[in-house]
Amino acid sequence: MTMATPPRLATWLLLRLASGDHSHALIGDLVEQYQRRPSVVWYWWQVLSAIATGAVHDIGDHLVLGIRAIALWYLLSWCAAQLTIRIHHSLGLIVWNWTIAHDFDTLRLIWFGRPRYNPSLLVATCLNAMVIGWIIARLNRRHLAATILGCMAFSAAYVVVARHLWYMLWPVTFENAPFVATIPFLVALLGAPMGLLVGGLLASDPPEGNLCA
Amino acid sequence: LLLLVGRVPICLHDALWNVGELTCCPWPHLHPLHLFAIVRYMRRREFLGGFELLVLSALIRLGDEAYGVPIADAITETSGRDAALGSVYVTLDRLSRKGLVTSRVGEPTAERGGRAKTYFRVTAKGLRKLQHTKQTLNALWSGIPQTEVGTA
Repeated sequence: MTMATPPRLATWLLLRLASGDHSHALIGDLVEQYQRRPSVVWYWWQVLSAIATGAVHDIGDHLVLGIRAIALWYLLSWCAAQLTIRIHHSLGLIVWNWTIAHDFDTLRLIWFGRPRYNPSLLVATCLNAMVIGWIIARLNRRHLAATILGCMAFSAAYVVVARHLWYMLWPVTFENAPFVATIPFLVALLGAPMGLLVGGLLASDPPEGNLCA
Repeated sequence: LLLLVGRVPICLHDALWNVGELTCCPWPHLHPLHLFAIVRYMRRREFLGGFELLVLSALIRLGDEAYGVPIADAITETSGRDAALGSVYVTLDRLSRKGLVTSRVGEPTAERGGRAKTYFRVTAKGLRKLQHTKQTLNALWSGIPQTEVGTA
């Protein structure tokens, strides 16, 4: 009899983000169930709900750890943003001269962008989030899913609240406002949390145990 | 700073609760260094939750063959709603931490992609807790007058 293979990416994610001591048993049970019900949607739903349920219970059981991770995320994000903007500004003259000398207009456009929309800073935001996710995951290896998913949720919520606060406070003119333009808003809303997740996954070690299949 | 450190000095705990040879701390069994010990104590529930009750009763019904899949099937059969395996394992982890269930690892099988089953069993403490919850629920019901369908 041929064995149905469940989606490998889902299993890989569960192996790294599952909370508790029985992640291998859980994956084994899901594979066993998948033989009876070979539905990719069902499998992904089970994996995502297992990660979310585990993370929510874990953060409930270790509230201090969650708050500490979110505080660390905020602190590191703020420091990284300040550092990135300073480096970006200080390199501006070099990039400007180099792109004019080498007739490289596209890079100049990417580097300097437009008011309220700067592609290079948006990419830097995602890369910063990845590094911060890596650091938080390294510091909270035993509660990786809870801390990383908590920071992702907080990051997205922060962007939404910041955008709406800005609209409420300055309803007529919002020049130089963060997150007001649609593309920066979407990058901050989706790109930064995804960066946190990728950084967290890069820092994670799969739990020990039987790794076949 | 307290959030980052998460702890208070032991001397503060001693100054508050220990008078000479006597210890008047209402939470003597808790780790005295932890600032959030009281919150944790309050979070510890006296009675089993609804899903915990379902999982424990499924474990008793299944006996030695209780692992994730049959437990989830038994819960689905009893409650009539689909039990996600993730929720079952989260509850089993919690019950295990409370000392209400124990686990042992079985043999890996090809059907499970070479992964071993983990069998669960209710401990004596778990049985006592289940009995206690049952008595409490029975006592609660006995105090409620009979209601019929369609009447308040």
